[in-house]
Amino acid sequence: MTNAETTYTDTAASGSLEYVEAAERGDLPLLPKERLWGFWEFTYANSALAIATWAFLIGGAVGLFVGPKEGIAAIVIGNIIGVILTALPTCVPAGKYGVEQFTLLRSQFGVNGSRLVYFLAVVFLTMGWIAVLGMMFGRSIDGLTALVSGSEASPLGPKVMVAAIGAILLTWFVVAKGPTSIKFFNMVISPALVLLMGWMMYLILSKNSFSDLMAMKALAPPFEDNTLNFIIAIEVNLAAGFSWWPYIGNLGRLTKNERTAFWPNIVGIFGAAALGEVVGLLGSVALGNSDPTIWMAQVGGITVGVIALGFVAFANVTSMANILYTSVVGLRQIGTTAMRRIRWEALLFLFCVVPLILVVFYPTMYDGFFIFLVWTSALNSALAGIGIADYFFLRRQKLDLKALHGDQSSSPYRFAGGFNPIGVAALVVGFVVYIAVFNPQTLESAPIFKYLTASLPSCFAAGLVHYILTRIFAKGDGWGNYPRG
Amino acid sequence: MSETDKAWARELQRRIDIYDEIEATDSWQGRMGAIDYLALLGLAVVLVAGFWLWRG
Repeated sequence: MTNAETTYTDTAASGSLEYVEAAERGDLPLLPKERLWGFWEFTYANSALAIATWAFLIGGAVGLFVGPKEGIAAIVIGNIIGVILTALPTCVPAGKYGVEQFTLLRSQFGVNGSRLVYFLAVVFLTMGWIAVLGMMFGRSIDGLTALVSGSEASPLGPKVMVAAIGAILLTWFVVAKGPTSIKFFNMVISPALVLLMGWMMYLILSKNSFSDLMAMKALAPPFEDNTLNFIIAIEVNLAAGFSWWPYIGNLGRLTKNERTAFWPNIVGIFGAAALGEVVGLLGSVALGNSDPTIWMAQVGGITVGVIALGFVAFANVTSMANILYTSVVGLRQIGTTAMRRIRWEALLFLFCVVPLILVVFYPTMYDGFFIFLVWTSALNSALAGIGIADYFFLRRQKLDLKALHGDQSSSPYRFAGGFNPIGVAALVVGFVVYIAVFNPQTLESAPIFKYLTASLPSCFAAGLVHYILTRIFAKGDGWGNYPRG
Repeated sequence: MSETDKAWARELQRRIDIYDEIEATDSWQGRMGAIDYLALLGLAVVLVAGFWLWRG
């Protein structure tokens, strides 16, 4: 504990549970002594977040574009770059100041701008993932019952839809019970998922030699140009790395300092997600189907299939519960007073309405889920670029805590009506650059894509525009209080 | 301003003062330094270049 902290601990009501709880919720900055996690605690926490069923899905999607050898390379290259560029602007400031991520974002976008970013980046991403994971639950149950009854699985049948709806409602129920029930699921499911991954890897390697696996071809390469297919596989993994942007800052603020907020992401988020994706990749290519609910049913016979699918089905509920809880906590944090008055259960259910609609009316979203994932990177990569430019280069790693938490109508971070038009413009530029370089819907790309991907130019362009426009125009009272000279 | 608001403002100011003092005395613990960023860059370069070459 620093001298400063000791002094204030003795003289003020620092032990007040009410304020500590408010700080944990994100209403106040957490003090270093109030933060719970060291290196290993944070490594375990974000490993638990990363070791989730979506890793199997992403690995399977990579297998569509490239074979296992190139796929493993794409998983490592895409994820390490994506995770680093995401953790720098989120976890480093959160680890320093203990500030809630979307409160911190006021320094880049203004109070209303941070709300806009929350809706664009968190609400859409989380709703999409909840729908996809709900469908994965449904398909796991469908595959499981087909295995037991000896019938054919029907991935778009009514059974899948009903089970998916049930999964989303079960998730709502679990999260409505509060964080304790989610913690229980995490403590059980995360280690069990590691065991399942090891078991799947063993089954795959027992039937195929490593060299045979490495020589296998992609399932459905979209182009004859192998380099282009490889870069698309990297882009999918960059998108996976950048997709942690909405979540990891608020985990990083619970750690003791900058280092413990940053480095565990390399072990936990990068290492654990890459491991799960490699298993998904090898399983999909070895068994000829990118859908883990299909290849898991085939990898080891009926008994293994039933156990694996049953487990994966409920592991999806854990993943859904984690992101639903985090997102709705954040929603209450950035929301208006009227939104805070909505009952917790009701707000959770409102959040589940769009995923329920997607499950019923757009069930094919599951098969092209990587398209949805890559779309999110158009936004997340630009947000990472803006965050790096703003925090590291413009503000030189110094934030005004009073401006972040005080009255926003008179805050130096009030900008224009609570929006920083420079940050918003940079975000639009990053998004446009992404779409100009690579169209996630059609997979069409500009020639530069083969050399630079789309996420990296988007990240760089957004950061550069934010830096230059801020240097030129962000002057005067209420325009961010950027250091000069 | 109600008493609750005043108490809240005092608590916020107390926390800000603590961070201000840490800043003034430059007593940040576990701060990311040049070694961290160089190690990070080295790790990224090794992994990207290594796996790029490995894929053949």
